[in-house]
Amino acid sequence: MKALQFHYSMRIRFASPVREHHFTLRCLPGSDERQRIQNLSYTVFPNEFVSLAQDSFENECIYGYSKGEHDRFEVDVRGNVTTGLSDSISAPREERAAIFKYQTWLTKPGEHLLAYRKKFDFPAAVSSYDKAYRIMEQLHGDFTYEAGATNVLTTAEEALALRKGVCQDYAHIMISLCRMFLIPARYVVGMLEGEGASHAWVEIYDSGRWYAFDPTNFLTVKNDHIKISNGRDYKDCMINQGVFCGQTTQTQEVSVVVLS
Amino acid sequence: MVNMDLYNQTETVNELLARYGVKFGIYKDQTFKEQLFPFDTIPRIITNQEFLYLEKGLKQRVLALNYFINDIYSEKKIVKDNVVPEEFVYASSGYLPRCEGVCPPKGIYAHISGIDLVQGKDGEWYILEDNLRVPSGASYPMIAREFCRRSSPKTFKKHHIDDNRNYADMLRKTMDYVNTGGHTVILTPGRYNAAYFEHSYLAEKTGAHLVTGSELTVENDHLYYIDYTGKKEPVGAVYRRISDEYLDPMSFNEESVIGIPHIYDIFRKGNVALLNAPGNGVADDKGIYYFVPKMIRYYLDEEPVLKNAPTYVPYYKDDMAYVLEHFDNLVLKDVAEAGGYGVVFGNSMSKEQKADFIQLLKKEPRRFIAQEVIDFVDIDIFDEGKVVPRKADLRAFVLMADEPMVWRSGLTRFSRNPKSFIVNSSQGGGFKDTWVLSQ
Repeated sequence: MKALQFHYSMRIRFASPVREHHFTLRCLPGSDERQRIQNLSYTVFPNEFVSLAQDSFENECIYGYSKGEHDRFEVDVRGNVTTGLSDSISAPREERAAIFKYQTWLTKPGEHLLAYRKKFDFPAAVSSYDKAYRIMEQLHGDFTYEAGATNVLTTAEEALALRKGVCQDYAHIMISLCRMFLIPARYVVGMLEGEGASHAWVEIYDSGRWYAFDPTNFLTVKNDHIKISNGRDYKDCMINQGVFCGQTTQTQEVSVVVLS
Repeated sequence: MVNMDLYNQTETVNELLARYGVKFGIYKDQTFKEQLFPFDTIPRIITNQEFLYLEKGLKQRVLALNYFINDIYSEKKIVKDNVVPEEFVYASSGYLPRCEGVCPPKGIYAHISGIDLVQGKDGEWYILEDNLRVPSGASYPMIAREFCRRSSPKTFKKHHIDDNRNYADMLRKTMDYVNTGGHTVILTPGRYNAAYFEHSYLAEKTGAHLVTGSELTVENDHLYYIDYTGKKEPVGAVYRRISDEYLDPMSFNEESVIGIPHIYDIFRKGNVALLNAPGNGVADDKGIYYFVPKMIRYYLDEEPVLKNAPTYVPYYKDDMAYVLEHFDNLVLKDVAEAGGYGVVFGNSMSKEQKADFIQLLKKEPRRFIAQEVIDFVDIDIFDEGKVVPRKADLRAFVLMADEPMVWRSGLTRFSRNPKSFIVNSSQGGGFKDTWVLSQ
């Protein structure tokens, strides 16, 4: 167990004002068997209309609408977390987890992933957990962390061809491989001490429970990770999603501070 | 029944239809063209007794389909009990993960269903497909009937034909039943949509507002309609005539400019009814069609009244063997296609085409279904003044409020090409009125 406090903040500046701005923010960590959230608070600007909603993957969302002109958009979330309460999260219904066995546009294998899959030869008795661990280990050795080599819409197949990328790419490739071995695998967005920005990792399903793996750092998740959301891939977990009217350019600054 | 008085009015009725804008639009070579939908005055006639049988089967089917969709997005019992294999659900393009865990108002997912049937030469009716997403077509026989009555009143005095002008009342009842409080609107993508005539006609007949996405807004968990004066009124039911992916850029296709941001969030909260409910396409997938009789037995514990066309799913080994053996007698359908596209007849392929197709079939068995070619009855049409037989199907409309209701009429579409079995309006066919006799 570990007690952490966090502060997530996002500042967007628009070069010229925008209006009719609709947004959905997946930036509120929730309590589960592994982590307990306390003193959660958030602010959003502009806050003309702001509500809370839960999406189909049970992620807590802030959503809203600002009709009037504005040239900045700001979100702050703070809270205290106790992590490491359990090594996994229960998933009582296997047929529900099966959704995460199917590839999405971002994880769909092409020739590189299909060839890479051949590196793994699992005897029948190996558990899903051990397979996932082996996949993480192999991937960590073959893939290099390099910011800027990929972007948010880079697919697992493209990233693997490059052999370099960021946490999102590690997660997508690992998910794609797990799914090829019929292991339900989901994408997780969260925060990690010392990271400065949001982080992405993977949860895999084995015998009624979800286990978290961080392929970027080659470790199984214990006390240091604060989970925010999960979904089939990056697109289900986008922290900030928005549409607005206005011809403009924007700059975005994100800061994540996690202190123990 | 020979009704020369009505037949002599063919031109008049078609002129009226053209004047009232009864058209459908199609995109061809990247330009939008509006086509008239040719109307043939010889009606398809269904006796009361025969229709009662159809009605029983259609109600049963739509009830089971609604149970299925509810189950898929909640407990998934039918998957757990291995009646429908998991991949037929999750790999289907109609299955939307965003709809997981949603309970639409009154639990209804398919409010307005268009079920396509054909009658075989043996007199047996077969279900061809279930259209649950945004089925269109009811307006055509509604308005054609109106013009026929006007042009030949004595025909309708002479015969005991059920009035089909109650469709608007049935639709209104369906919309009101799920309305969560507020106005009822019909949401259209606009006048360049193939079925714009229908949207405006149904709005007029039901007294609902005809709106586009820009006239609706979500504020504080509720949906509002903003009229031309800027006045804001709450909306409780949206009969949306735009497809799932364009409905809400925040939940589905983010590039959509015709949708309403956040409408899906408030639908999830139960604050507005969407007809039909998003995600219901999981039940009208051509791959799922095969399982509908099994669903009827599973959820209702009844034997299906209406038959499916004999269908084979190459996903199952036995079916694959059958398909390869009887390839030339079958029609093969790509489960992802609609509107008469992706349909090929085994006997129409060249040797090379056949070899290529079989290779594809073996590689992606889940993508195809195969069906026996049903020799369905010809019905008479006028072709340049002469009566000739042509293939036709029937789209029956089933509306779901507190109980399923079947409209005692329907859209009969026919192929004008004597060799074709494909009757879709997008493939150049025409339509007829469907008379259901009241005794």
